[in-house]
Amino acid sequence: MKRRSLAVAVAALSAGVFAAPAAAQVLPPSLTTDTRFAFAGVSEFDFQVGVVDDTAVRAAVDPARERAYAVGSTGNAIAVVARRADGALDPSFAGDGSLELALGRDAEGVDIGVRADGRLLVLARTDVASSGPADYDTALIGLLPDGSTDPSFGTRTFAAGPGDDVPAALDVNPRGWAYVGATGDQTYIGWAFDDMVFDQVVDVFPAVPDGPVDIAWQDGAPVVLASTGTSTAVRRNGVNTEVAVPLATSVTGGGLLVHDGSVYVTGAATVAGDSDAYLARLGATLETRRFDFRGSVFSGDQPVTGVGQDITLVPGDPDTVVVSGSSETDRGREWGFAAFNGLEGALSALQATDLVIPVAGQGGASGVAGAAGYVVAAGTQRDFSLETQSGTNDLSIGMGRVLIDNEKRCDLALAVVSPVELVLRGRAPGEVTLRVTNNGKRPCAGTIGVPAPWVAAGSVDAGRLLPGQTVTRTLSLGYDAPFPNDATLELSLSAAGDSALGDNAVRLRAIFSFCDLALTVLEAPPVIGTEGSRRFAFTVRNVGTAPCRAAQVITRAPGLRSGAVKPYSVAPGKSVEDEISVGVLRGLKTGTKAPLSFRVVDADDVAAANDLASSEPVVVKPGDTNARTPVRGISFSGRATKGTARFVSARTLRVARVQIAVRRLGGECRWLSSARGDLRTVDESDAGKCDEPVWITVKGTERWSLRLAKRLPKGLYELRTRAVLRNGLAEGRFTRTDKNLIRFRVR
Amino acid sequence: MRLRRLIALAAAVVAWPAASANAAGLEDPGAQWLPRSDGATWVYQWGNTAFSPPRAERYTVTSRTGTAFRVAWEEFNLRPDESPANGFADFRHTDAGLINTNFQSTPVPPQFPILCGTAARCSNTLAGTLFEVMWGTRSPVLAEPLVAGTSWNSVGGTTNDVTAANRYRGVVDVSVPAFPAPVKAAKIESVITQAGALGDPFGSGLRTVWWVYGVGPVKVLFQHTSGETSYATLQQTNLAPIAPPSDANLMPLTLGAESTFRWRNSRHMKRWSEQRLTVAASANSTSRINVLDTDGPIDVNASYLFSNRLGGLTNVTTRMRRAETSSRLPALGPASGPEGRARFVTPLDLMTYGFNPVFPSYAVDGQTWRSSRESRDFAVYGVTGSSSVLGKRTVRVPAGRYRDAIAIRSRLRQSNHAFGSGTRTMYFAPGVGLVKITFRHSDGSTSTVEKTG
Repeated sequence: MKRRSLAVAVAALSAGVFAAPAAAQVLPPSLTTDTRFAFAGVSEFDFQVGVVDDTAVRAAVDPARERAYAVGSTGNAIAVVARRADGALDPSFAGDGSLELALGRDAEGVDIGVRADGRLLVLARTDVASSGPADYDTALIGLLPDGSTDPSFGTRTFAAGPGDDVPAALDVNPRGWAYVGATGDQTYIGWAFDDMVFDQVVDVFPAVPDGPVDIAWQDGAPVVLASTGTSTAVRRNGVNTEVAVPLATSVTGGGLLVHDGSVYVTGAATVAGDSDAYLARLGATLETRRFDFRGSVFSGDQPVTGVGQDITLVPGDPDTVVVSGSSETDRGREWGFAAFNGLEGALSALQATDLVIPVAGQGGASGVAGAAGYVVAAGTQRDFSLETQSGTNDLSIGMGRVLIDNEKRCDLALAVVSPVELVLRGRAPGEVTLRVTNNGKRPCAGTIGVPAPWVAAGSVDAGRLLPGQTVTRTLSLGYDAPFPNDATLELSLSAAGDSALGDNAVRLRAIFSFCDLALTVLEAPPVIGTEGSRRFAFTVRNVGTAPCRAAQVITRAPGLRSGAVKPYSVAPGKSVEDEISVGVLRGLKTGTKAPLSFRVVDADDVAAANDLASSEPVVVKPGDTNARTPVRGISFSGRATKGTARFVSARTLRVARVQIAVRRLGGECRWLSSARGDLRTVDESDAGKCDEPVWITVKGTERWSLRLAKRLPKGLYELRTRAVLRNGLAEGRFTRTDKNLIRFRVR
Repeated sequence: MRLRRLIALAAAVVAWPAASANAAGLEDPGAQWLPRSDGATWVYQWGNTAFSPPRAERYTVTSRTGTAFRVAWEEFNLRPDESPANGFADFRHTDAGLINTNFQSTPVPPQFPILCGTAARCSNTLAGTLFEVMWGTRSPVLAEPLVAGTSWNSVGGTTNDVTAANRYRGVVDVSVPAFPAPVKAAKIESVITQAGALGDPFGSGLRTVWWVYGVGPVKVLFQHTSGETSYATLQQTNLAPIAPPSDANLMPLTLGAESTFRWRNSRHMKRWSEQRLTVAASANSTSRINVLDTDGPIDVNASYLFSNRLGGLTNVTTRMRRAETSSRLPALGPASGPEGRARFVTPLDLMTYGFNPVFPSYAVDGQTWRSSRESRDFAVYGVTGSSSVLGKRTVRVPAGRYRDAIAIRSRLRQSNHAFGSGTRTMYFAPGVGLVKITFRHSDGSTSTVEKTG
């Protein structure tokens, strides 16, 4: 096959030098009200017509179903509302997206968690007394995604203590769930982990009454946030750490989040009579940061009372922590959100953005839950406007959806740095240096695609690039197919969410500069001797596109090449003739065919299939000569016998002629030139030796003789004799015991 | 044991190092004096002391087919009231050098002298880098192989009405803004003549172009006969310089050059035949050498055409007007060749006998090339064999002692003709040419050629 590349070129990827410009950084998070979810920003829901209290306290999200939950109460029952991503009530939950769940005389939902398989766990407070004073216990209610009771969990009601229970918060994770609440002046915790159930009573603030606020998982154990109303602390691994906000006279707790080994807390901190929301992070140390929810609604100098009520994580690149709460002015309370990213930095250096969603009446986002790209918030809406002093004071379940980094796009661009044109020389891989730039506004990662039959070993991962960041990659590319003269290499860059694909592909012209030799037999003798060698001629053609600079023809057993080897060049598209002398190994029987194989080799040859040729000459034993010691350097004589071989015409084995070669030893390379007795100087062979005899044909065959016209000059000589058969085969081994190699001196 | 040795020998043979060959060819688009690499770009600043302030042009290789390619350009960074000039030029890499086959551009700037006989429809221009480079030198723009002493006459202009006598002045260091350090450049001087145009003093002058291998022209200086100076320098490029090939000239064929040789055969022609060689004509690196005998047993009047190309020095044709000798040189084959039997009459017969090229364009030690039975040379000579560059040798001949002569040995075999077979060793002195040949024929005789003057 012509131009067949055997090359699966060794290809390697070497990482280039990262060159992140100073401007390359994660941009501050963005918050956008999802008007598709609720055109006015927050949707309201009432279980019943009229002025009936419907409240929402916490939110949850099921990303797999794109479903948002709010939990609270309606009248004396637990209320759960499920909405789809477009804000509509989800009819696949409880028939119409709203579930009113009566439990005891009175019940209210406190928190809700979504398990990995979509099942729900609702933490509720329920009055279990059948009559008389209320007796509030804690209830855990398992629900299926369709809103029906989860038969595997059911409804578990229990009294955490002798007094009324005040359950506070719930958290679920793939291996279990945990809840926290207060009973009397104690805090109780219950959790299940890998089907083992635990409960514990703790006292975060032993000296003063306190109550739990939130709970979260960390390393398989619950972390609790508790507050006295003016002080707040985190209890982790049995250790209480107070959330101390500098200059704050009062710190309340709102929500708790565990992320990447750190505990994030939000709530309200009062400094000099001004209440701000805060974000605290408890890692190796405690960091705090105060802020207001202002968004584009409240100017910087407008007095605002901010309260952080819940906190959640929006996974993504980068991860974003979102705090929900309220922002209150003399016109009422509005929903507030603040988002923070760049979480690996100091808390004070986190990039932040806030958003205020004005609501009809008053309210706050008391619960928030995040999924990739958005958060869902829930809160109670009071139908009363402070501004107009009008409204029914009806409480409704409010839900909103805020998009995170929604307008930020990934836009990776691929460009070729070098070369201008890829030249693949032989089988060697070619190097292409590429530049990947993130022209977008969000970090994103890309992979460089190399189409077959191009091959690039190893990863072609461009890695994660910050907005504005550029990285270079050098690919070593091979080509796993027969080489064309040229081709176009199309490299592509794929990145999830890449918004502009026009700059994700580059085309590079590729030139294949390769040597490809093809061998054909030009002349091959029909017979070969058991000794000596015969000349084989070949045509060596370069069917490649680049010169073959060191070509040669070799053979392998039973063939043996003799003589020096001198590699030669063959221009592309041209051919040369090569002649080599080949003998055979001892042991081949005469009359049989010697299976000779030849191969043209060149280090740059890319295809082996056309490198081979073969010949099968018949093995013949050559004739044999015996020489007498020359007489006085002038007379030479001897005998010769014919060659032998089975199955070969005897006529071709007869001796056609006898030849002698006489070399004068010592000094330069001189040989007897003719029967006249003159000597000639011969250039050394390609091997640099005096090993190319000058043969002179003598009279006779079976008995032969030669008398020179003049005597050889004085000196030491070496005589070789050989019989040449009619089939052209010549005796090839010269030894003194064969008497065809005689050293003599002329005095 | 012997088998092992043979296997070891075979292994050694396979591992024979490749002859280092830095020889330039046409196949590499980048290793050229003007690369045709896809996407190659150059940014030049050009101007004229009288007619144009410095202007910037960007050139790009926009298409390519085989060795032909198109370079398009456009001016940029102009004032708002200026129109950018643009155009393209088509080139081809040939083994005779770089050829311009076509060009087209926006109209000639009106402030420049009119470089035609009439102003109407005159598209001759020197307003631009490439125009400065090609003025009078379109075919070839740059002759190759570019070896010491290379000179060529060329024509240019839209109707080939401009002539240039170009001369290679060697490799020099040149500094241009495109490269942080000086780079090696081939310096080409051209004496340009335009006659009959309204502005022919401006169209005539002395132009110097500095070419960098792997990059292209990096600097142009055109000193017009009318007194102005045009210039261009390379500001940016995405190409990188490559080490230029050797510029040793093993066979200078300068027009009018004369040399004398003598030759004889140790057995068949023992008297020296003395002959004079004259480079009688030269164009596009192809030269005709006339040979006349001056003394000795041979009466000869012959012409040889040699072409110096990237493929090497090639004997294109030979014409014997008269060739008589009193010596009885053995007949050579082939008996029924297209040009009759080969003959050894002049030193050049001994030099060209066998197969082309006589030597490769950029000879490297150890470089070997072989005959081909599919070639014209085999039909003419019937000779098979190989030639190798042995390397530098010191040679003493009547004309003098030449160090660093490049020896080239050929092993030739002409079937059934011992006189046509043998070992030939030729010696070429850089800048001088052939100085000696020793041809040891298989019939035992030796022919010797020596330079005598």
